[in-house]
Formats: sequence, C-alpha cells, structure tokens
Amino acid sequence: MRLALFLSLLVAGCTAQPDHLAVEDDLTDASWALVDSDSSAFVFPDDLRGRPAYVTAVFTACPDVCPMTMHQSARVREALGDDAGRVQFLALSFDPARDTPAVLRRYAESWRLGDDWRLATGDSTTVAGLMDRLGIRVVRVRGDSLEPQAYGLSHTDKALLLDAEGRVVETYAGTAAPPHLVADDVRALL
Amino acid sequence: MRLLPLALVALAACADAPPPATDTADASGAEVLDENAIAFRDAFVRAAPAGGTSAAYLQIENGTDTADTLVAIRTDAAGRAEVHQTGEADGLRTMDPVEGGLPVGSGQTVILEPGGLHVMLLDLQRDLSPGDSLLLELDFAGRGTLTSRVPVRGLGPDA
Repeated sequence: MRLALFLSLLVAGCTAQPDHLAVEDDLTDASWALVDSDSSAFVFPDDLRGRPAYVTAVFTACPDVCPMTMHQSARVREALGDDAGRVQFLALSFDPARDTPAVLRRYAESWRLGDDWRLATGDSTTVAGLMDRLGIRVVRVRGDSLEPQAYGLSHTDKALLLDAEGRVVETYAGTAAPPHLVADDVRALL
Repeated sequence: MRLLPLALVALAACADAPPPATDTADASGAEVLDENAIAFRDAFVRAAPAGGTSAAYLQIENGTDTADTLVAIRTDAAGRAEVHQTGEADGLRTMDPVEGGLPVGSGQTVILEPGGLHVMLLDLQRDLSPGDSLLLELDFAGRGTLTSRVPVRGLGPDA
C-alpha cells in the first residue's frame, strides 16, 4: 500500500507541470466557430485538443508588429527542434473584414509557413467575442488620409500557450516571447 | 527614433574622424547604389503578398556636415511608401505616420527597425518573396534622391 502510494506520487511528480503553467483560463466551457485559410471549418479551441498550441493574434495589413509576432513564433518553432511537430501553431486574425481565407492563404504562402501553421478567422461577432475572451483588445483607428475607407488597428501584443486540453496555461508578449523559454514551457506540456 | 548618442558624435567630431563609409554593399547584402555621404545599411523588407502591406527597415547614416531630411520614399513595388512609427499606448501597440519628414542630423544615424520607425509599404504591386529584392528611392531635401536595393526576408534565421 505504501509502495503503491509512493510510486503514484513519484509518477505524479515526474509528470507534473511547473507551477507557472497552472491553468489561467479553461476555454473549453465555450467554443468559437472559425474558418481557416483553406476555408475549412475550425472550432476553437475544440479542434486544438490533443496537442499543446501556441496561439497568436494578428492581422495581415499590419506591416510591423504582426510580422514581428510571426517572426517570433518561427523562432519558437526553431527552438523546439524535433518537438515542433508535437505542437500546433495558430495565428488568429482579428480583422475578419479584410482577412478572408484567401487573403490568409496568400499571407501564409508569402511567409512559407508550411502545413503545420494554421491561420484562422471568423465572422466579426465571433472574432470579437474570442478576442475578448483571450484578453486581446483591438481598437480601430484613423482612416488613411488618402484612402478614407482604410483603417488601422491598435491591438494587444499577446501570445498564449494552450495545453492539450485547450486551457490557457501561459501568456507572453507576442513580439518578444523568448523562444527558448516558450520552448521549455511547451516541452513541459508534452 | 533611435539616434547615436550625441556624445559619441561630439567625440568623433573632436577626433576629426572620417564620416561613416559609404560602402557599396552592407552586411545584409543590401546594395547601396549611390556613393554619397548619406549611406544605408542593414536594409531588408518583410515578405508579403501582392495587394498587401509590408515594411522596410534600414539604417540611414548622415556623414555629411549638414543636417538633412528624408521627405519622401518611392518604390515600384508598392503604391505608396510612408515612414511610420510603431509605439505603445494604453497597453496597445500603435502605429502613426511620421509627419513633416524624417530629420537625419549631421553625423547621426537614424535606425528604422522592427517595432520602431519603418517604411510602410502599402498596396504592394507584386509578391515580395524571400530572396527577391526591391529598389527604394529616398528623397532628401538637401541631397536629392538616393536609392537602395533592399532584400526580402521571410521567417528564416536571417529574418
């Protein structure tokens, strides 16, 4: 009896997640119907379950900050090495009016992201609700002086690490997440 | 805007140091086509699809004894090119155009880099793919038009 208890504690100790990866928000009490860059239905976070996911939020008309986020995600993927295939990379667009699946697909192609990196968006109400839940604020700003219909988006700089159950266990600055730190966090979930 | 510390500039002036070199190519491989005392270094542009937006980055070194101002930028790869500044306010990442031109003081280096000043490229006329390049034409109030060929970077190790 004592041996069994000892062994169970030992196993639990070996597989326990670090304290800083405690669940911050269990997203599985809701779901959001999205569409990915292949125009396929994608339900967040349900369709991510089974593997940890590194989730960022961007919009493709963003020339500076969002490419930094994509770049930093690529560094995380590099830092994971062979473990990268055990993780999902997801970039959510919070600009559904412009970021259609076709636009997302061309964006992914220009970055040569590969099949293991999913981009997704949804209708404006769904995306707004998801961003609110993820703690990502998006504020529409000035129209372009030459193209009044154009607009910019100020936004929170945030990336999230979800465990295999679809729960947020850590957040980072999307543009500055230290790749090896994130990789260590991800490996702790594998 | 990041400028070289004024103290360094002053020391260089006291030592009668030569102005920054105007190499014909920099470490990034970006060719500086015009041999002027205003030089461009470490230039690159982000990959992006036609019709989209991107950003170009470079360091502008003014080795002349007079201040100058970058007043306009053009490239046949984009419908418009403007200098913008990324910032942060109220917990949000923001971006605003730089109005009135970009001053480059005598002996100063203005650094356009991710997360700060950058050349925003709007209405891209063609795909910008890693390995490609584009030509930037930079109009200075004093020196006139200078050009720089800028390589396109993707998400590779050099990005």
